[in-house]
Amino acid sequence: MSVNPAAHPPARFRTLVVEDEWPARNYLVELLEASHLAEVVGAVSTIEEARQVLTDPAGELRVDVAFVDVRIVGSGDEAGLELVRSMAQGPSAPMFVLATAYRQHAVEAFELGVVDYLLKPFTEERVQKCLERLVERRPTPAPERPARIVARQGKKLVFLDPGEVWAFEASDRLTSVHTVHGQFALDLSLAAIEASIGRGFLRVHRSWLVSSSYIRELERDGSETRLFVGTGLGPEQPGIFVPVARERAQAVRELLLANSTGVRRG
Amino acid sequence: MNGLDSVPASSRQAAARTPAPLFGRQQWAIALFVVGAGMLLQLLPLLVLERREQSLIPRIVFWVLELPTLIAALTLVYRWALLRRLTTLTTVLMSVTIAVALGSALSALTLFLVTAIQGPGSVLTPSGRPASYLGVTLFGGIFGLFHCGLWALAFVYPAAVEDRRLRAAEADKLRLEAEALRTTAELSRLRSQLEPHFLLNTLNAIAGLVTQDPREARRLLACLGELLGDTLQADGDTQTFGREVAWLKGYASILESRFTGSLRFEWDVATNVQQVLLPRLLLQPILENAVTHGALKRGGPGLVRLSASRQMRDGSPVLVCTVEDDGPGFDPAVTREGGIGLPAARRRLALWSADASFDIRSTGDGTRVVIELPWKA
Repeated sequence: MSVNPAAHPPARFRTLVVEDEWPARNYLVELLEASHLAEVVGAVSTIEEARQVLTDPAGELRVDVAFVDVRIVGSGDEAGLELVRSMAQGPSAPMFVLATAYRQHAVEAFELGVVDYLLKPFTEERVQKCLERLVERRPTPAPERPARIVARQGKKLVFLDPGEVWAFEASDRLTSVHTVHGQFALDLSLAAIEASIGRGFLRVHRSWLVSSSYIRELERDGSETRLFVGTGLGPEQPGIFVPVARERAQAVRELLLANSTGVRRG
Repeated sequence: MNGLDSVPASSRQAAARTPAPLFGRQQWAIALFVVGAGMLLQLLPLLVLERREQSLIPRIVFWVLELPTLIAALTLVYRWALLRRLTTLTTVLMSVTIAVALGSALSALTLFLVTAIQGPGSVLTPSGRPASYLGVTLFGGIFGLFHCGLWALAFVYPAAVEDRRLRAAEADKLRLEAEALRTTAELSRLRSQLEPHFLLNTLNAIAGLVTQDPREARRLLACLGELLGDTLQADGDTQTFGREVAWLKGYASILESRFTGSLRFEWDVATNVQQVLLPRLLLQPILENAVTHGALKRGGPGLVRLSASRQMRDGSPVLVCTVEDDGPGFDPAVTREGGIGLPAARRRLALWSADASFDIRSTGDGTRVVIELPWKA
């Protein structure tokens, strides 16, 4: 008896991206998400952060695959290799894929048990092939686990439940995530977030991605529209004000009203 | 990895090369021929014209005594003079003196020996009278001089010709080597300016930006195009500071975009330094070093700052250019950290002008490279 894979789609790989270059990081996240075989639970830019995520004792992120850049400029020419070397034998070690512009590390990489070796510049086909290779490596899908995402507060890493996120905000290449616990930094572009951990969020502004379930107020002041996003109603309640782009105001309003009852549309 | 550091061993040995040997196999043949011909030329008139056999014996005794001794002595003196690097005049004077002295002494010895064996009066002068010691000594001196000439012709002249030939060949080889070195250096420099990994990583960044930020992607493509065009087209080793800075700004702008949030550049270039000349892309490895071993090692947003101005040193104008970063610093004495970029840049600067200076200061708060070069416009 054969099992139709389409009927039981395998659980997506929970992936961590370790890459020091901003556009490359966002690009890889985008490609991974586009494959529908993986979801990105964290993207970090240094080896220290990667180590912290992977050795987190609570294991909250449960990373299946780590995509690691070999050369992290701030950490050394072979920092990625060293990370794999020191972690590959661990009890809860994830699978590793190395991603680099350098060909010369391939042999050592395979000796370390790396599953695949991606050369830059990446292509959609190659990343897809890599993930299919990973599927072959892990025929039995891992049990469904609560998904968490990783963000940063200064040098500290924080692990967030996506359900706790009110909104993502981009300001001059810095992205932050707003939650009831406060504001944290994310090393990804808003576009990459929208494609990954921010799936289902509402793009209300060029630099705002909002969770529709936390929108509490919609306020129109002349031509300006803004939202209050948070856990309660009223000025004393925790939350933030989010501007709505003029050209999206009507669409946002209709979408919100379509999912609610009470107010007459118009 | 770079062609600059590997000076071929042969060019280093060139300074200590030895002259062509006096006693090569070919040299011996020539020497034997010349000496034999010389002796025949001396003997022939005696045998053919004069037919006085008894004057032949003292002459043969003299030659047997004198020729080997003289040739050995002159050769030793020649060797010694070469080793001591004596002048040609000194060497010639010494050889002549020794030849005359040996010739005189040995002819006197010949007279003594022949007289002792054959009795008094057995040695005659060409006019038929018994030879006196004074006459024989004079005769011996003249022959010594003659044999010295023979020796020079037989041994020194072929050696000198051979030496000249070797020298010319060696000079040719050195010239070719220098040319090869220059070409290698040129190539490796071009390669390092836009090394493949820089290209591949930049293309990867652009591929990502195409969807994330199309305007930025287009901007990077334009920057990369300019860098490539400049690298492929430019010829010569020199360019104006204005062009240099324009190139560096494109290069920096790509890095800034790739390391968004971690890297920033600042430029403080005086307007009056645009036209000054300097070695092409001298500053690129210095800037790269400030990025990879400085600003990006900070573990937070890092800054690289380039400033340039015209200043006066001892009454003459110089270009002062400073590249500084706010990274954790490194020990410039440890070349591993400095990479190959910095020593190569230092060498190029030294070759460009003996009055140029290159100074690295690295502390825990950052690294600063200061370059001073004489004003050429």
